[in-house]
Amino acid sequence: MSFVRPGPVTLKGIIFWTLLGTVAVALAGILALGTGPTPLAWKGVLGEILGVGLPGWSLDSTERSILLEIRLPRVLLTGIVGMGLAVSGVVLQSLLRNPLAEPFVLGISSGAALGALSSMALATGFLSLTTPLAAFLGAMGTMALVLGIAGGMGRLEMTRVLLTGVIVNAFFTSLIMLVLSLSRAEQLHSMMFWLYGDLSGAKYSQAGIVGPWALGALVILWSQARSLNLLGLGERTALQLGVQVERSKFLLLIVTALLTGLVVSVSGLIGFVGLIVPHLMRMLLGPDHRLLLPMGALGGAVFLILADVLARTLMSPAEVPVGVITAALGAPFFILLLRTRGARWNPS
Amino acid sequence: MLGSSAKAAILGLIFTFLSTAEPVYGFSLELRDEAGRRVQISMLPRRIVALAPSITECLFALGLDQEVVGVTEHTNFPPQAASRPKVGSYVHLQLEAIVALKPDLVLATRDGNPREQIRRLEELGLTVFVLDPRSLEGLFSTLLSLGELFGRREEAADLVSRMREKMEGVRQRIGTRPRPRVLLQVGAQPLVVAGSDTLQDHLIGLAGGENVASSLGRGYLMLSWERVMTLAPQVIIISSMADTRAAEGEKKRWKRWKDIPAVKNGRIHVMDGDLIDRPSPRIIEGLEKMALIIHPELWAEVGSRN
Repeated sequence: MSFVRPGPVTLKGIIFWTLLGTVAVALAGILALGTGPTPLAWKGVLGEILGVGLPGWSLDSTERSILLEIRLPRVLLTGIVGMGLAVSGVVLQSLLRNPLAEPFVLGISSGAALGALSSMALATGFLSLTTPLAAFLGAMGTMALVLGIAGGMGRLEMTRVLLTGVIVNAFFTSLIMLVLSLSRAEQLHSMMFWLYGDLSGAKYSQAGIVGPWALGALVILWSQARSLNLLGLGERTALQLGVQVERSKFLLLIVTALLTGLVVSVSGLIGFVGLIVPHLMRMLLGPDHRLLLPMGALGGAVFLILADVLARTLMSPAEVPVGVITAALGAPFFILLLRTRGARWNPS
Repeated sequence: MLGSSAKAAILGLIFTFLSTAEPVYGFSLELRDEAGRRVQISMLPRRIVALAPSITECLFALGLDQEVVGVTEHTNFPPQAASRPKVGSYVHLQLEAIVALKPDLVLATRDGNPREQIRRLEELGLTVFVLDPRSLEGLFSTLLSLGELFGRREEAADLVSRMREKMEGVRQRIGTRPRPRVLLQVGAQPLVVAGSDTLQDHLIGLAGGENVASSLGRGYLMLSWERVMTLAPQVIIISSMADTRAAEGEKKRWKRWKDIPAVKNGRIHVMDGDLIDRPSPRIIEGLEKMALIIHPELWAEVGSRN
């Protein structure tokens, strides 16, 4: 395929791009910390973050609590969620050899949604779990179901996994509608926010729980970068080149599902990040997963942090679900890029 | 470091506080809020954020207009309340905007405001008092606790007794008249009506009607048109959600169902939703209007009295 391909990936290249990406995340993060419905002085924000003890570079106690107790956990969590979604997208698109694959396609997110919404609907009942926990259990249960159905027939064939995921997704979507239609009117609003992604409740404790696991998942996925590259050449070729194909596929799927379930449980359903960011990075950097995985992570973090800034400032003081922003801005931007770059799907 | 005269002055001050018969605000006050939680109020609140339009209306009615520093979207009454800083919509709050207003006290509603966000506000160190009026009696006790909370006992008692008087007036005029079967529509597509244990259900009862949906379940219920036919309401009241034109269109939509008594007799009415959906002092006005809709024969009496 005559895709405009950047040069071969070198260690130097990986380091260079990763540093650049980290700087981008840091800049997006600082921008996000400094913007919101309440204006905070930039000098004060920078002073608090960098720990500069100069006069005029500090905030009063209310401002500090807004910055440190509301915005900072939110920015951290948003970055982690964006990272998780984008990385899951990179892996699933390559593994399933489908340009439309993203975490949602396997039904993981509708499983999470079903869990979360049920827990909201039963909030006062004896079955009530906290929403994130219910979402996570829903996601993991769905993944087990999909792999069980698709893998029950022997070898884990990717087309079958994909198809099973799509069907389970459709089935769960109808159950979600059922739960919504039976819910009390007062709850519908928070359910809707959850379905379109809501990071407003971010806490340090969530970032603290999800962050290390997400990083761990990223490291495991990264360690499989070479296998992913070779799998892209076809399973038989990969096998001949020494990849333990079945084991590798299984590991990649499980870790990706875990990662998705984890981030969806704290953010709700945020579409498009897992779809757009991987393609964006592939256009920019080529298909080598050794570079694509870390850059997907950083790119996803930047994308979602910026989208969340818009979500909470666009209609301030009202807040827009962040999933609305990612889709409404991501889609036109992506189409523009597709037209100017003339990119083609090329997973390997 | 204090001089003896200053000490004496302070002691004197404390004694005057202790000797007044009224409990002293400005010192610690522990109240149980309407969600059953103990809330410690350490000073007379001077900066209040109200997390629902109805709460804002109650506060203004108690003369606390200076103290309300933040309100939610859709706050429209009294008009000067609408221009106060907004802190998001009451079903989805902007925590940051609330914290930035440095409130001494946040007043929340039990059903409307998301529980998670309320918990979060408390974690951020704010004092939150939860209100939960579901009937007129509930509203009276809410107003009295607000009076207690803000040192406005007399105003609250006054307001409540005036409201009670009007309520009794309606009750007396209705007496033992037959109770028409009433359906109160709060949402159009899908059709949502007020079931039992809702504010509107209580209003219908006080206004001399019988809520046909109260036997179907509590809270706000989705209803099929088929079911409405079998309920055969004699009066239909459409609560306009701020949009009167849409409500008028709704009225037309009912015209198809000629078999429903209310439609046949042209007894479909649109009411200002703000007067019957909000547990605020204006609800008495809503009650009086509703009574006249359900019992139009009362018009003559009202006319003759004036």
